[in-house]
Amino acid sequence: MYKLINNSFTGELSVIQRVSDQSFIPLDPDNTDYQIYLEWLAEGNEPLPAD
Amino acid sequence: MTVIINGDTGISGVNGSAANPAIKGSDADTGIHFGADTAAITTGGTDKVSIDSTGDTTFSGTVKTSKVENANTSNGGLEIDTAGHVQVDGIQLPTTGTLNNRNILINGSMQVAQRSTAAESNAVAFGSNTAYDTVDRWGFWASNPDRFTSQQVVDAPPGHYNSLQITSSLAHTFTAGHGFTVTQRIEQQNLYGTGIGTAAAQSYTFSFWVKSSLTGTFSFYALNGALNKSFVSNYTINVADTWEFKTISVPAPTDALFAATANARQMEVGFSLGAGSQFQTANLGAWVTENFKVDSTTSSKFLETNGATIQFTGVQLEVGDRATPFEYETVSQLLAKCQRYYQRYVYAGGGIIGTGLCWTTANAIFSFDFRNEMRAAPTITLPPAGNAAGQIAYLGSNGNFPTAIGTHTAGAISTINFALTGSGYAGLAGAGFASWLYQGGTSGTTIQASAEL
Repeated sequence: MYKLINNSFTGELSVIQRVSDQSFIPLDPDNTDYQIYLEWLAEGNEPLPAD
Repeated sequence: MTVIINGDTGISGVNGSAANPAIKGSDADTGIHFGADTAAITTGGTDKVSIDSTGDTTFSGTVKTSKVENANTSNGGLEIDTAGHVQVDGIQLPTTGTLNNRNILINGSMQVAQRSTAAESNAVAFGSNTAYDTVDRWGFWASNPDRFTSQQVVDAPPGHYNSLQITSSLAHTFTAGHGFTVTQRIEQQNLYGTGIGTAAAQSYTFSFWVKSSLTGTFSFYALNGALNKSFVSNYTINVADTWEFKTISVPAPTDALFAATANARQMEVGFSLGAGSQFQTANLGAWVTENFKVDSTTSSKFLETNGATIQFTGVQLEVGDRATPFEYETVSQLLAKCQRYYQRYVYAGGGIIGTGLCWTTANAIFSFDFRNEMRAAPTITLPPAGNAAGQIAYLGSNGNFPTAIGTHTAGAISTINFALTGSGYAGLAGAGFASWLYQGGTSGTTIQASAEL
């Protein structure tokens, strides 16, 4: 499961939080964790919304 | 001049010249001629071999031989094999490529283990995923969890210190879709010099030390970044619990399927710990256009034996047809290379991580700079927010914990830094004031950044 995290200043999506270990995943297509997140999204899953 | 033929002193009396040797056959300008303490062999009127009065010998053409050594030695010197490749004093010289930075792999000596040096049980990392548990840059691909532990150990062949030890945790029963490997993924930029993916690609030699409680045939593999071009070769462990050195020749990967972007995975190499039929191939020793093959149909499955151990070290991948000596690096060189992919910051209990800036009494921010630029924007793992052991918090203006500790976020993550933001606090100093980011308790804590391939 993942959760969206917005930028404190801009309010725009900043990073994805992996709930299992609370890690922060950047929106970088070269980051393998982000690639896995995109695969998870493509399977029809939905992340938790930002606070 | 008179030619003297004597039964005791031989033939003498005429020196001759290159154009007209003293001793010759039917060819008038091919033979041997002499001078004062000198002799020469001439062909076509030109000296090809000449020996001067000091014993120095000059060859005007190519010297064709397989070995050159001192008259007083029976080994060492210079040896040339049938392919023209050279060893000096038993040390293989490179057959192509550079003389330094020959090892394409990082941490083949298994010396750097930022994450852990203890035995760690494997997690599931299947599909295109790889998990990293212990020794840097060496990941694990595993269809099932807790089938083995990995650990950096102090046990190695002469000339090495550490090795990566895998210990099976149970006797795994394989199905077609199961697979387990030890792997290192290689960034394209580190392969620029090898011509990979072009007609000019060079062949590779993979070399390593291995020691196992098992004997038998096991598999080495290589894959392109897209995992649709496979190379599998077997190697044999002959004696149990004994270090053995192995080399494997990998043909030049000329296929366009090796195309990749600069900081992406272009190739990976690894050792199979056993795989089902889905990941096996019978086509050994050549690149084949088969999806994700890491094992052969004829090799043993290491993980079928409970408690078995296998260790690797001195792992090197280099261009050329021969394995050269392992390329040692200082620990600072190794660590810097590893930190392009993973960085672990360890803080002592009661330590200051950095000085942030408040913009309200509820919010603070700190720019956390990485030691080295990372391959890609990394995934950040922070300690929990709080004032207990292993937790971190921004401090109030008096240097004490604030009224309430909020939550932390790693944002604006780039290859060089990220913003560690505190929100939901109460009692920070307020807009424009500094705030220490503090690690409470005595146990210490860590911040991790991972940009592995």
